[in-house]
Amino acid sequence: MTQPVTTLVRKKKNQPRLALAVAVLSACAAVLVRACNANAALPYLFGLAFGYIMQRSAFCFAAGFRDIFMIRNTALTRAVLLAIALTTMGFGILQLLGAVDLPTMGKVYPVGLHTLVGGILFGFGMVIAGSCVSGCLVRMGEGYIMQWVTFLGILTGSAAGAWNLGFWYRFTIAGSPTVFLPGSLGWTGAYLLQYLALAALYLLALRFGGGAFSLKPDLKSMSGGRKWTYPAGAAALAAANTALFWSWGRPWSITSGLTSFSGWLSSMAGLSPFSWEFFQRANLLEGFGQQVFLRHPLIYLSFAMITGSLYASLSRSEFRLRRPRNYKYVLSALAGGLLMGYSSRIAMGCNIGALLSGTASLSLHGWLFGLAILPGAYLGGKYLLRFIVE
Amino acid sequence: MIRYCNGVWPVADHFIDALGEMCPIPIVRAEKKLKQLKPRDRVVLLTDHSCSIASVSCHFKDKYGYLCTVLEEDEGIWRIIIEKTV
Repeated sequence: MTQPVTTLVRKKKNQPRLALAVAVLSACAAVLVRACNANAALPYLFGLAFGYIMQRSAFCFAAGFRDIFMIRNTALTRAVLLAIALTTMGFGILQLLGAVDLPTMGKVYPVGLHTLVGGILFGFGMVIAGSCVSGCLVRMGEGYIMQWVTFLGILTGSAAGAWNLGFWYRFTIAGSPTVFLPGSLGWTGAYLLQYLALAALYLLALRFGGGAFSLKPDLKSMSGGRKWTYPAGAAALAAANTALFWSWGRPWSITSGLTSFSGWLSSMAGLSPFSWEFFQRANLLEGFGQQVFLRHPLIYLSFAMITGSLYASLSRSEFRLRRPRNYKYVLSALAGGLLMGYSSRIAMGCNIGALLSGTASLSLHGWLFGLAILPGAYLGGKYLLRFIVE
Repeated sequence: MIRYCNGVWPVADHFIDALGEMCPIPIVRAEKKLKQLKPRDRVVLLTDHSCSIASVSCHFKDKYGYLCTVLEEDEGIWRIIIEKTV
């Protein structure tokens, strides 16, 4: 998969020097973040790492779902399954060591109709936007103007979702059970079921969209080649997520931070987001207490992902301000962002918080969210082929 | 462009400009084109999508067994040559 790249034009490259400047500035910013909001320092540093890893490995959660239907290729689907399996293992080891308590500190949330609807909308949104929320942050750092539009959509959509959450709360969330797998199956049963399900999906994916795909991380590609392999990216993301959970006490997630940021923007614009259901209720549920608006630590993680990706792309001379092909791409990016922002509120997370960290916390809502994304991504693919491809 | 390879087989290059297009549209377009082509014909794909370095070659090399070469055209722009070997 890793491809040697030949350079056509040998021109003076000054991007690596800019990368150095970005590194120095983000180190200064880290000190500043630590001084202003001590609880945000670790998420900030890990955000840099997540952005760097995702850019270097071209790891893409959206492609893991979309490519199944659009090009019948499951290389990234299998990489996502691998990332879930390794993160599950990492969180499991932390639980075993007593470093964390999964049911209270992990991502264990109610599972119900809201998860299903949220997943479908999210799947559709991420395909028409060209990336999910994590991918959007990474592409923003690489200079994709289209993803900056998606980001605006995500912020607006999250505000709408945060405001409208009361409806979903009364309609389904309040009456939905919170299913922590070991609670009903025991620890051994839960891990057995989790790994059997992951293995079954892996084999299914291999059968459906085969093609040689070595599970063994190609170590050579990590230093000399152009990109890391997908499995290497999966392993690095799992390791970083586990390290964040261990050191900070909460696993990797993004969208509740972006919602808080969006709430802060709304308050600046004269709205009163404190009366919105999300800030009344769900933020407490997510364990961040009164750390709303700019105090929310995940805001720093999200913005650090952009910087980490910017550093990675500059260091490899890949940065470029990329214009979308035409207005259809811009509209699609905006619509996809709005859908993702709204749906990540009602489903309580995105591909990171709900799918990756949720399933790895052995919560059923992560699994249902992941399965619900499939029909959404299928429909999104149909939409792309019908309206966007020339 | 038609050229001869080893003086025996006419090889045609088909150019696809995929600048500003996101995944997996460049792959969908290249795949559609490659289906119509003869063995040893090539598709030249111009893309500014950084994921394409991995995803295009992963798709055509690992799934179809085609030959893929990635050339860096400029900072953030790549020319991917996909040769239909079979």
